[in-house]
Amino acid sequence: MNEQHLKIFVESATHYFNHLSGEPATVQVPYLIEHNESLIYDYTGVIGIAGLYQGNIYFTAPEGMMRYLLATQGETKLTPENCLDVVGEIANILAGNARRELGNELLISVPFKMAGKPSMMLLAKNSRSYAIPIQWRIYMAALVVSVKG
Amino acid sequence: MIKLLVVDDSSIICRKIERSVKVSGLNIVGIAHNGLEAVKLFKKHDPDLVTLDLTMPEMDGLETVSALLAIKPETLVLVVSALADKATAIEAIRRGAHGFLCKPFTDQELNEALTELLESGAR
Repeated sequence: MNEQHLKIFVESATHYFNHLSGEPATVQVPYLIEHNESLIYDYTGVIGIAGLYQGNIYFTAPEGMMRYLLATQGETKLTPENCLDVVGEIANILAGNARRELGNELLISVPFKMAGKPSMMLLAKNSRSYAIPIQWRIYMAALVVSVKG
Repeated sequence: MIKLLVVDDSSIICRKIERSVKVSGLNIVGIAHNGLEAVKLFKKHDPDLVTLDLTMPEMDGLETVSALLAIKPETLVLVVSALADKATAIEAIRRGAHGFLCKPFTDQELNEALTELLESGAR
C-alpha cells in the first residue's frame, strides 16, 4: 500500500461519517504501526482482503461512538449486539467503498466482528500496517490498513 | 400492495430499511440475512421487489440475484451494497438487477431509488 492507496481509505472514512450523519469526521494523518503494537477500542470489525491485494483492514471504535452512530440511524436498541453489527457494517462499507478506486481486484470478506481485545494477531504478516485515526464528535476511532500489494 | 423482501446480513441495515421506506403502497413481507434465507422467503412470500446486499455469508448477493430471478424473472431487484466499483454494478445488472444503491445511504436516497425502480418497472 502506498500513499495514494491510503488516501483512498481516508476519503472512504470521511465520506462515511459525513454522508450518514451530516457531521464530518476529522481524519488525521495515517501513521505506520508496529506489529507488536495494539490499537484496539471496544468493538472491532475486520475485513479479510484477497486477490491482487492481501491482508486485512479493520475498523475499531469505542462503545460510545457505536451507540451514538446507532442512534443517528434511528436505532433505539443500543445493545452490545447492535454495536457489533454496526462496527462490522462500517468496516464493510469502508473496504467496499475503496473498490471505487481500487477496483474489483480488492476482494473483501464478510466482516468478522469482535468485542474487546482480540485473541489473535490482526495485522497481516509481511506487510506494512497503517493506522488512520478518525475523530467523530468527541470519539476517537481508527481504521487500520494492513495490506500488501 | 407491492411486496418487498429485504436481504442484508446486517440486522441494523435491515431495520434501517424498514424504518426508512416511505414509498406508498410498499409492504415489507420478509427479512433475510443471507442468500439461502432469501430464496426460502422469496418462495414463501412471492415478493415483487427485493433490496439485496452483495457481501453476505452462505450465498452472496450476485448468486442470489440469479437464483431469485430464475424463480420469478419479473421481480425488481435493487442492489444495496458497499461495493462501489463499476465492474460489480455492471455484473449485478448483467445478472438481472434493476438498480444499484451504494452504502452508506440516506433515507431519501433509498426512497428515491425504490420509487425510480417501481416507476421503471411500471413502464
